[in-house]
Amino acid sequence: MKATAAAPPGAAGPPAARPGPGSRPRTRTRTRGRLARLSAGNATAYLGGGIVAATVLVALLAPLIAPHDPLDTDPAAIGLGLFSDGHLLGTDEVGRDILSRLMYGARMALLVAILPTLLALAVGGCIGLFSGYVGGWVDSVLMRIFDVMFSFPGILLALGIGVALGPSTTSLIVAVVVVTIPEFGRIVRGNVVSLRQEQYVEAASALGYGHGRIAFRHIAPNLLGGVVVFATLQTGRNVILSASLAFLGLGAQPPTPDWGQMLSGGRALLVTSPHVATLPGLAVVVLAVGFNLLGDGVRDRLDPRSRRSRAAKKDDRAADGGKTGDAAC
Amino acid sequence: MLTFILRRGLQMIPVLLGVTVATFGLGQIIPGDQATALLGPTSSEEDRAALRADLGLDEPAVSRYFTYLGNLFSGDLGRSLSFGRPVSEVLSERLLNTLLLSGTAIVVAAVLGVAIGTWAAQKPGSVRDRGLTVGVLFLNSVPSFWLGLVLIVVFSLQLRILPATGMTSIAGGGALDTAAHMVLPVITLAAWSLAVIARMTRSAVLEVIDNDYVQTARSRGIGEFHVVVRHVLPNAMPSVVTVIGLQAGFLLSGTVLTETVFSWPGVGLALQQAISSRDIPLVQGGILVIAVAFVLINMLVDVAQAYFNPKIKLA
Amino acid sequence: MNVLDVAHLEVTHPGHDHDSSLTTVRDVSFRVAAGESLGVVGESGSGKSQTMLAVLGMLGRAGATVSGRVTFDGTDLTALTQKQLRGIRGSGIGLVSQDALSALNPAMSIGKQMAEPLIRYDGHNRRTAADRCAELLQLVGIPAARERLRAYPHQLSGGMRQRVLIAMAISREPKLLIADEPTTALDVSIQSQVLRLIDRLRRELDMALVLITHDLGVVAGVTDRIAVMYGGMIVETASTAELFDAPGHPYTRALMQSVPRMDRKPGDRLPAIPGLPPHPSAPPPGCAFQPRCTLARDECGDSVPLLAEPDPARAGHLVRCPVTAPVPAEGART
Repeated sequence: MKATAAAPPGAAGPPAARPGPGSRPRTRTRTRGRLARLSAGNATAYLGGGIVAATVLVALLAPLIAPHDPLDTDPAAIGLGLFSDGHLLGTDEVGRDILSRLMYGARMALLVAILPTLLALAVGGCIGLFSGYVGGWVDSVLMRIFDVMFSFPGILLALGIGVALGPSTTSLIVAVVVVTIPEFGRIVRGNVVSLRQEQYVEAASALGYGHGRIAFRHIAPNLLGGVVVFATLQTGRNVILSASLAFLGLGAQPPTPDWGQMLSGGRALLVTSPHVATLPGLAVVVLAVGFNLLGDGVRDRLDPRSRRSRAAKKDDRAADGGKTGDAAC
Repeated sequence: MLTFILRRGLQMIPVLLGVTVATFGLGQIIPGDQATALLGPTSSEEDRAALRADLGLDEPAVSRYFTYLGNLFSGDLGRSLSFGRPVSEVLSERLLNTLLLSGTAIVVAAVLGVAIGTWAAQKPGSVRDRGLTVGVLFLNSVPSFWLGLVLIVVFSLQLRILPATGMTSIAGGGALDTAAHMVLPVITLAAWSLAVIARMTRSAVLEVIDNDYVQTARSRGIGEFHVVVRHVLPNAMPSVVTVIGLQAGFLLSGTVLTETVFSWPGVGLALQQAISSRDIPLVQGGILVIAVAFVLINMLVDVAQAYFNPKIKLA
Repeated sequence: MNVLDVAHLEVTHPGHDHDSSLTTVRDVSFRVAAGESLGVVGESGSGKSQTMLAVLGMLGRAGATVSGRVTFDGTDLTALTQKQLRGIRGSGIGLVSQDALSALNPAMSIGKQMAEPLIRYDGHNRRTAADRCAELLQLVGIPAARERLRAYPHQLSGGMRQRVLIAMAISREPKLLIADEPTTALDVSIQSQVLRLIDRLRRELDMALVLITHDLGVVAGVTDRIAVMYGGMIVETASTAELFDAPGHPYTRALMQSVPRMDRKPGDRLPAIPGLPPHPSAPPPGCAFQPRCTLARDECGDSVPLLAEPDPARAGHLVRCPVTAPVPAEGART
């Protein structure tokens, strides 16, 4: 029911594999173009990967590198500014060292971003694989259930689950998993449905292989690329979703260092020491950017189409369209 | 067109039922004894027993669901524990404030997003186009509550040009005063959606802009601006409208965060207060209201889609 | 008096890499006199559509560089700004493109699309524009024209859509009509109707016509002169009768062989030209047709042959082939 007119027939037929004198130089430019694009994708992927790796490192080494105990309060040093003596990033509303809390908070941030992704991937992936593989009414019913879940804005559903289960890290993770299961289910199912048409899958079933073997040995491995990209981007979204829920008081409870909750607590000092609330938010932004860059970069590497298409189209247009049937052939 | 609207309306029914099942379910997954959870551990056994009878907790879940559904139809969303008043009352006096905020935000996000996306698509690969890509990535990595705080710090605390919280000044004031209070929350709420809409518009316009009928319009001497407005945008609209509709729904739920940051007296702020007091009926009611609005918006989007597509419009 | 005079037109598209620029039109020169009709024939990829888009100044968006001179009605179009060019498009030169389904805006009614430039630039109001559009639809042979104005493109048949497109192209009474493969997307039975319509309109409205096609059979009965294009160049040009009578270039001859004819025996195979046309990113050295040419000699790969007049008795018949049409000493080059 899209009103956008389809591309002119034949416009999709690139003059790619032309035998004869034309082929040699074209192959060269194509290859060089692809190399250039790869490195562009790499740069994004490396930058994003670097940010994520650095965060992981800080989280792991927090006990070694943190200058203070993140839970140590100091009533004499409340809301110290940036670059204070002994507190590089100042102290928060009860006099705890912000830098140390940010470092320990990275543990929580990674936990509530990555773990829900893995759990939702496992559950949603299996549902999607099953639904797409079996098809028929089972597929329709499962997809209708996903439709209903999609009709809830994610954060609301997560919020409701979080409230009902009572605020804790566990209920936050459960909430994020539940609202992201349909996303993974949809993606995997869509891919499975198209993979089922592939010849090697039909060949496998013609050879009499069992359903389990076909689903897990022949279909699942081919889902990997797309799923990895989606999971990485979803982790970036989870960083923000989890921080939002923690900000509303639904995640780890004080005094556990957690970025979202640090931001919420720091609001009390917004007028005098705005960095107490804004620094943890900045940490959220950096980590989210990291996962998003990583996801974008990996996608560009795995799926050169997203970058190639326009250049290729231009090629075709320049070659007079390829719209008409060849005249004298 | 009328049959289309009717058919689409009927499709909403199972989704809406699903929504009520989900909000009802929220009340059921509370760990332990519900009455204790609702009234607190210090409550007396008589009070708990009374509440259990009141909520019908002793009956099976299915029959309680139908009671719940029946109550919904008569406009009874239960009683808010923290406000001590009917949930429907608490929500209805705030719904308008929330709609004012999110409505303004979606209009801002849609208008600016479509304009920026179209503008960037005019020169793919140019500086402005790359700028859009980077801006989108950044805006989609920024939590709205943090953006709101930064805006408050800069514009209210440092520059002192815009009010930070509330909907009106203590001294009171007219529409202009409310408008000034809306500026920061609207920016906060619209930023994310603006980025998504701009990105979608860009790719939708790029899909359309090289089509033959756009060439035809150019070959007839029609100026580029009118070519874009009359021939490109209407055909790029279906996918853009879908995204705008989805974003409208997300904006509505995003008010929980934005209203909290700016103390905007809407449904979202009530929800946030319900969280801290574990006011389950109010949470259920708030979620239900926003989810129903979300479903309605999605239906409106489909109708708008049909409007842009003469093949459906004339059917 | 020439309506259109194109001299040494060259179109180059920048590649997505530094070294892959594509030259799609190479040193193309031709003239169209007032009221005259010229057929431009060539396979897809021969540069014929690109030539016409360059004439209309519509390749700028694709980032192509256009050199050479295009004179329309005494004005040098290459010296005009986009805004000034807009004044020529539609009102001076009308364009009918090939695929009427994709060339009409699917989201706008026929009447609205037709009336748009009339209202915007020609001082019509809604009512007079609607009158004019109905009149135009009648002119191109669409019955019940008034009601058709409210129809959307998908509600019309292919032939009907092509007629609408023609009506749109002539709506501002251009002096020159460019028809780019106007019959390719149509059924054979409708093709000839549309061709006859274009021919009739040209006479009635006293327009010059450039008819672009890959099919020699299409231009045979319609145009005064024919230019044959291959690999971005004009390889032969002559009056229609002359060209069919004595085709000079091996490519033209091959094209003629591949036109279906009544006098062939059933079961005979239509001879096809072996190989594929060159891709503009990698033109063969020398004559562009040389890799597929049955008459090719060694020197054909040395340099691009000149467009020459082999027989002084047949003035205006130019051929770009040193084998079938050796260059006379004077070197009559356009």
